[in-house]
Amino acid sequence: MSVFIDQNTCLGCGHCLNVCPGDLITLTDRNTALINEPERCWSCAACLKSCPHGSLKLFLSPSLGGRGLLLTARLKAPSSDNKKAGPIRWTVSGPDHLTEIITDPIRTDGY
Amino acid sequence: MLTHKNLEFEALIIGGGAAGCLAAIKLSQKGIKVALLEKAFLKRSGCLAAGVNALNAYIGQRKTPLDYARYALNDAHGLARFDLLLSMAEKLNKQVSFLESIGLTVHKDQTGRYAERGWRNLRVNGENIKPLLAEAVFRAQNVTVLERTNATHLLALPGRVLGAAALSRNEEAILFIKSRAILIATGGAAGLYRPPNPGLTNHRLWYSPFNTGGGLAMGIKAGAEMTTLEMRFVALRCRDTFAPTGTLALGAMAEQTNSFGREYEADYGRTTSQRVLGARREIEAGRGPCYLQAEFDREAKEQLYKAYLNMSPLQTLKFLEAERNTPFSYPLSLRVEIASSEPYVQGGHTAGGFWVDTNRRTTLKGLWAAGDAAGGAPQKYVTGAMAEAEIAADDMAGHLNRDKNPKIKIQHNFSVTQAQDNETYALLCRKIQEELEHHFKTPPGVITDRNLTEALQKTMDLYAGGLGTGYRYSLAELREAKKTLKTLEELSRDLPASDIRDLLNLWEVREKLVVAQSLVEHLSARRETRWPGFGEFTDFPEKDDSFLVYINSALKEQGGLKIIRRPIVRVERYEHE
Repeated sequence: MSVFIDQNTCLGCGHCLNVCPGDLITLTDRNTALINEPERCWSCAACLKSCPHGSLKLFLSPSLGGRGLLLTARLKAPSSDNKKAGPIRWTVSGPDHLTEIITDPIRTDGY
Repeated sequence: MLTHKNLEFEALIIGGGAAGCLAAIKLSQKGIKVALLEKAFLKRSGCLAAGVNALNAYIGQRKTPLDYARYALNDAHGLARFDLLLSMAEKLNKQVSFLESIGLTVHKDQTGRYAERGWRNLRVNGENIKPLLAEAVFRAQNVTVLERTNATHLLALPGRVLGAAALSRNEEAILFIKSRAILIATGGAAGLYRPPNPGLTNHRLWYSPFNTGGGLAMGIKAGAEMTTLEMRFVALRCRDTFAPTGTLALGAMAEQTNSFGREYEADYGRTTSQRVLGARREIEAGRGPCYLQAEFDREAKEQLYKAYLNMSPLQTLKFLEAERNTPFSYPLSLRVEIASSEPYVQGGHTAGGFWVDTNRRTTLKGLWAAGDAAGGAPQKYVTGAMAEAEIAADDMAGHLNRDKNPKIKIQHNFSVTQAQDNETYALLCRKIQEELEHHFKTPPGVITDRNLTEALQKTMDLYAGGLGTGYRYSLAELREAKKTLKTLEELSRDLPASDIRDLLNLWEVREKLVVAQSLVEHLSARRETRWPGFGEFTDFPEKDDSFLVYINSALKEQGGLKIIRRPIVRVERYEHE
């Protein structure tokens, strides 16, 4: 499992529940998202892209060479003049690391 | 207890990946009412969940479909189906145009043509490839998408299929779906072998861990003939993340090098199996680790990061972690350590799956197969899976329309009346419901789906050529595997469940045990070593061309599998006997 869900910023909107290819995500009784059976997660990042708040973050487990960096993906709504192209914004952050933004010019479907 | 629901559709597609989505769209265009079953959510399910950054099956300007078929046949060391490869290759470029028409960004050169990477590969910004396909399905007329619905059984009589049973997590019910044309598009099987990553990361595989071989197991149990399962796929990938390497090898022309910096690929040959073998032999000889190595300037590195974000974001994160440890200087000589995966059974890269005719009909009437579930046609990738789905959908539509025409009499090999048919159907449904409900009546014990999965993976790893033995296996070891798998299967019949999710989890291991047992029979039957990169039979370590035949298998009426040897198909059309 490589997805961290920030329980302080998750608003329980439930978008991520409807994209997981393993159907692994549920809501807790505190109305936050939770990955059931985290050892079944493929780390595909589908859930990250569905989160409007950047509350879901991908990390690399130490056994895979990770040291704590976090990656989020934000999809912007497609611009009205060109529905097929819009940016997806990936952000990487870490405890001693300046936030770096990687914008990729691909179409997105908003949220 | 499970509530049940009866449904009927003209056509039924099991599996909502690349093949399933394309088949739904094609059948819809022909006015056929179709149901598409997806175990999770269509938007991001299957192999394409994370996206792709290339389409690997495309016929470049200077090449023909025949070139593609020859290339794939050679890569499989002669053991693939010419008819399947050629019919697929003829429809590859059409799939690229279709994907572009629904919004996929395909890279182009200055003249506006697709920018070819090699002769059969196109770069795309494909993070959104699955949402695009899913949207096209949701826009289509006549398509009922049933999400969170996991097929468990084919409703089968000897030689033909009448429908399927599925567990729906949305409805908390078992669905019995009657249909005269059913397509299996469930993908191949991951999770049969001990995976390379431990514990919490055990699902960080190259292949989708949600491709659990369910369609193969349903087919095996219904008596369908399977082919070439013994040609397992072992993927040479980026260590740890198991992210694809094409971005480096084809995109940056990276070469495999050993720890002494020596390029070694030419020593072993360049078929897929030989490339996997090369890295393994270098490591065995004490020259590991092995790497893909290439030079990057700052811009090329940025492009590399983005390319991986489109397909395997964990790999970009791994680059960022490495860069944070040791800041890069340019020009950058980037070395990415490579490792080979555990073996998979699948018909997308290798040739294991349903034995189909050129129209992708299985040996059971009313059942078709396409994509990774269909055997005989390796090097399929995304566009090949879609091409096969199109071929199957065309034939399914033809079959349904023929049946609609009352002037043409339908030839069934069965002299049963409709009333008898209905009675048989009801009986089949009742038996399946009883089999599933049995698990709710079983008291909890110490045997669980998790520890049975561990036992399965350990057995396959030790005795059927997994990572742990360097993909080696012997006759004696395969006999041990058979014995243990049989015991595990018996144990799996009495696993307890308290809700639908438990039931689906235990059904997963039950199905994996079915596929694993067939696989071991296939491995035992091919007494040669044809693809040493994918596995080495220690009793028969050489290639033996008396085995240049397809090893097929089917369930015997009295139980157990029979092995069928079929001669190589070299013609453009193949029909079942």
